[in-house]
Amino acid sequence: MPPQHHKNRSSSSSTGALAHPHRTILASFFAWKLFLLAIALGSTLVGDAYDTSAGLVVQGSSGLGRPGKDGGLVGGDGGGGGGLGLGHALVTRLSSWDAIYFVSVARRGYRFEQEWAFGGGLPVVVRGVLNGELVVRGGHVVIDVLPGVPVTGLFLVFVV
Amino acid sequence: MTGIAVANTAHLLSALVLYRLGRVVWRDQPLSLVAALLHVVSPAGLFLSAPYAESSFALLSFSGYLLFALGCRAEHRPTRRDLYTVLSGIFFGLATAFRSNGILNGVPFAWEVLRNLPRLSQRPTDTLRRLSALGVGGVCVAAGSLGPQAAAYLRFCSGTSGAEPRPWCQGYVPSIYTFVQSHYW
Repeated sequence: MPPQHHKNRSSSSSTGALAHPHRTILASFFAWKLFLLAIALGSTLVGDAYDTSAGLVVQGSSGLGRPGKDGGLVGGDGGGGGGLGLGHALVTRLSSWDAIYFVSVARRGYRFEQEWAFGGGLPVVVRGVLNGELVVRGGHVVIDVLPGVPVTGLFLVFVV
Repeated sequence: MTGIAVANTAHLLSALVLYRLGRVVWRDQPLSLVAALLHVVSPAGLFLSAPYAESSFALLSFSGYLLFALGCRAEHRPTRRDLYTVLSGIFFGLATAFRSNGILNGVPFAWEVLRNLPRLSQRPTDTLRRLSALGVGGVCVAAGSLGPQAAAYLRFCSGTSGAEPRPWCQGYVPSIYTFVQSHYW
């Protein structure tokens, strides 16, 4: 009887996705984000935004929704050419509703009472990334945070 | 733009942390991978890419749970176990500073406290240590909610700016959050 060559491969070693899980997650992440951002950008070519709330925090978006001759977004200054126009359009589309509050608080701190409904964590982090440091409660504590953020993330995933 | 970068980075890291958490809790690699991939294509969609607190909150919450699970798993190494527990509380506290419903992440701490209370008679020192670590962690979670509210109280209710104190200052528990939610939204 000829020997039976059973390829007895367990499910965890055979499929490529399971053998390289982090790579799979990374690749899926970028693919999905590309898809979503393509939809967001495509929506700027097709029609107006749902509302013009983004114009409250994004400069040059007062003319939101008026298609320019090249199909890009035409704001107050029309953007600075194709690539810049697309980036501007994307930022505008993503900066509606709650994002207005987060961006405003990140820029100038809490001013209005209703802004306190939004957690202060994100504005602190955004300000920290912009300035390369964390300023906590009136500027008395300054922590150099920029190298720490990706380090903590990688630490949690691979070491811990 | 920075907010978008922060949100996207947090989303990616939270998927990776979720995968690690699944490995620790389920010890099932395919299931953990599926969970992480589902989080990537989450129905929250662009809210995880826009400058919202959602993705950062997810990252901090998942990290907190990972640390908590590692703490529970390290039953026989008390120092490491307690360290993980306190760290977990710190991460949950930070998450609460991003979104206030992070306070619910205090539930596992309360549950563990109740679970460990019967052991006080059998192994008093060790259990006391565990309860203290859980207590510190729980306080950190609460601090993420109480800290900002205390800051708001100082700003609106002390009358330093010369303006009238706000109506919610007289409440039994002067919480700006509950007032703002009911008044403005």
